[in-house]
Amino acid sequence: MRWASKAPDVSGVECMNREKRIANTLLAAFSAVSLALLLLPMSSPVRSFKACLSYVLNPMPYRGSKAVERLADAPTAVMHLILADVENNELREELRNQSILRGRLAELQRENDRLRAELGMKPAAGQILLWARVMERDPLNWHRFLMVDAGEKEGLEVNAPVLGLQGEALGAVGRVSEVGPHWSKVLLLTDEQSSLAAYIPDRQWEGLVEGVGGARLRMNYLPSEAQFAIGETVRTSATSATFPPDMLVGTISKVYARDPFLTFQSVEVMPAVQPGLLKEVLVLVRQKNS
Amino acid sequence: MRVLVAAFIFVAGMAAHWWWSTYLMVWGLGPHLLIIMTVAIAAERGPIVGQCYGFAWGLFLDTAGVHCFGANALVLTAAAYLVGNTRRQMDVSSPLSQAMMAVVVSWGHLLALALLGMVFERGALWPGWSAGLAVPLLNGLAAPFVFPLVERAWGRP
Repeated sequence: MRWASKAPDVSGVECMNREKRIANTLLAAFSAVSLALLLLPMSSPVRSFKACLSYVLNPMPYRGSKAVERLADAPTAVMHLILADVENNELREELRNQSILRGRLAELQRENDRLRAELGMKPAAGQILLWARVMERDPLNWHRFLMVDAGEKEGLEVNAPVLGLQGEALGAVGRVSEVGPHWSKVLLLTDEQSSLAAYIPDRQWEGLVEGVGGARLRMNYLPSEAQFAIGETVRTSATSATFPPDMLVGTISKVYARDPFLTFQSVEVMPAVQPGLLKEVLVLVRQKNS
Repeated sequence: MRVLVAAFIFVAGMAAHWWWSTYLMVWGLGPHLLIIMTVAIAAERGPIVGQCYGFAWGLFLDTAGVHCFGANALVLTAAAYLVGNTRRQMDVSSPLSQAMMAVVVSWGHLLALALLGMVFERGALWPGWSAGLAVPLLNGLAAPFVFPLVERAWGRP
């Protein structure tokens, strides 16, 4: 326990009395100044300074309809200045909200496109479409696989076809190669182990699209007498064991020179859907009760 | 050196109060640091030093506020005078006493401001019941933490 001071002796009493006198004088002086400040009207520069300082230290109360009331005492020029700053801040905030709204609008637009594509896509009987988010890509296996956030519990099975949407084009992306409770690994078409029966609709030539471990695909086993044009589309064949027929695979980007020792020729195919750009994929899932 | 310490406490008090009331308020409520510091200085150093700080910090609060310029300066000066003159009748090192002083002075501050508002602005400057009840209690809770800081900054008398 510590009291503010010990019991005073004679000199202590004198000291205390002197302290008390000074304290009384100070109280009277400060009170007089305070009362004068309360009573006397402030000059215009003092009111301006006070309004500006008050606004700088605590701008929140000046927002909304109370600002004019709070600035009633301030000179007109200062009031306009502060109100302009308040308005400026409010407009900036509104602009920020606008950019958030624009982002949300773009997101809705993308969702709209996806849903439209889903409506246009008619899964075979006993199949349903399921959206899954891409949650992970391995930089070392960029063209080989990606992970999605749907798995066995959501109804995904190994070999389920995976489609992607790029712009308005819905195209083949790969197939499910592993499933966990709530995740799946999607083997991309560009992986060297991937192959897909496909055909060129304009000419009806069938071939096998295979991954080469890069961004492009290679379509083999095309008849050696066949003619192709760059830009022709390649679609999944009805003979594909995994994909529904007529799904977009890509477009021919290069015709390889004929190898005289082979009985077929090959073309390079640019995938319609770039897996690196995907944020969501569409998986064709078998209905359990069917 | 003493002057530098005194100036530092004055500026630090204003900065701490502004920072707390701008960033750390919860539902618009928080302790009123300048009241607690005025009480702490008056209790530790006596009415003369306490009144100087109370008056200066009161002017700062009046400048930052919009109503009754001079009211806070008057009320904090009076609070420092009362605390400084009654400090010998209290155990100022006890956290309970410190909390009690802070609560009583906070209530007095609120009531005095309301009264001055009625006299000089034709309307009581009442912050509302939630702030009127919560702020003195928060001041009471914060006082045992602020007193040792002030004591450490000043050094024991």
